Amino acid sequence: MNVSIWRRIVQVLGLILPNSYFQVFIKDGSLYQGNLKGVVLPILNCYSTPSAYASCPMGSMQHFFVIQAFPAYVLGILGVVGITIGRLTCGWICPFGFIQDLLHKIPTPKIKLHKFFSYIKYAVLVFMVFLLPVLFEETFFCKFCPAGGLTGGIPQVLMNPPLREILGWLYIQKMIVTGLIVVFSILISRFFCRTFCPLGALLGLFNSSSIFHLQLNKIKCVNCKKCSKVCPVGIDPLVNTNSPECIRCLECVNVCKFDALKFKQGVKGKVLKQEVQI
Amino acid sequence: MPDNSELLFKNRFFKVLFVYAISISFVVTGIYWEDISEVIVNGSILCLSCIGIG
Repeated sequence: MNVSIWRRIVQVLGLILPNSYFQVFIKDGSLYQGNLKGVVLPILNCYSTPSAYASCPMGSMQHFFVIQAFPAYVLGILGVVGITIGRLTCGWICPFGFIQDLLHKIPTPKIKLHKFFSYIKYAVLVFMVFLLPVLFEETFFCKFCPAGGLTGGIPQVLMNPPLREILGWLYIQKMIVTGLIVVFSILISRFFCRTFCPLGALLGLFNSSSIFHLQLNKIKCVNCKKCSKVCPVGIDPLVNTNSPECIRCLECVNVCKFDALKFKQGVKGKVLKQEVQI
Repeated sequence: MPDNSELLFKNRFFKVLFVYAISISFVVTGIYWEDISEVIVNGSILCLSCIGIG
């Protein structure tokens, strides 16, 4: 089966399985409180999503900083995942990434994103996830997170009428941010992943060193540029094969008719500026 | 000609080993510090920041 079809199947499972606590819609609306909430999945899936089973790594990390503790467990999990597969979870499992893929399929004129905007997410990671929660004891990124707004804020307010009475400016602000991200995701492929996602920023740092990574065979490559045309995050694999921007969707591998690009495991050998497989 | 320290640094194997060692020790330390219980408690309570209320 085509890699793209497999990826869609896995993405659907990534959307449903972590959010399959369907009893919440039948019972009194209380969140799942079992041991699976201790599992930190390397995806942006808000734990205030009514049917969420697991915890969001960004929310959990901020919580530790708020209580002035070091998030060893969360960082350790992200480190193990990152060094193994890099940013693959972004391309294959993240529910919010999948939602952006679906939004981008809406037929409208599309806009290319300048590379400059990809640096914003590192500032979001450093300031909104690390520094500001420590300094001000508030989960700053969570207040703006569009994934939380879309899958947590809207359903929770719809399901719990008492919450509607205490809505304020923060909710309006969050819905504006969520709305803007939705609109821009229609116009720009994977807009949030490329510009603001702190989890993507963190996992992307491992792309160049991860065990599973893309390998380019420059001898087989005919420079047709099909890989760069199909890339949803605007990378040219010939220039930077394991860019921190790469979400490892493998569309470039899928489209290459010359077998020049492969996604393989490899640990030994030097890390060269441009990887060559002979 | 790069010297031995550059080859070691650039060698993916040692990078991977180093990151695995640090990450796994973080996970073990976190479990010892009862981080998982903290994550469960935090994730089980409705996060007002997440839904845009507090």
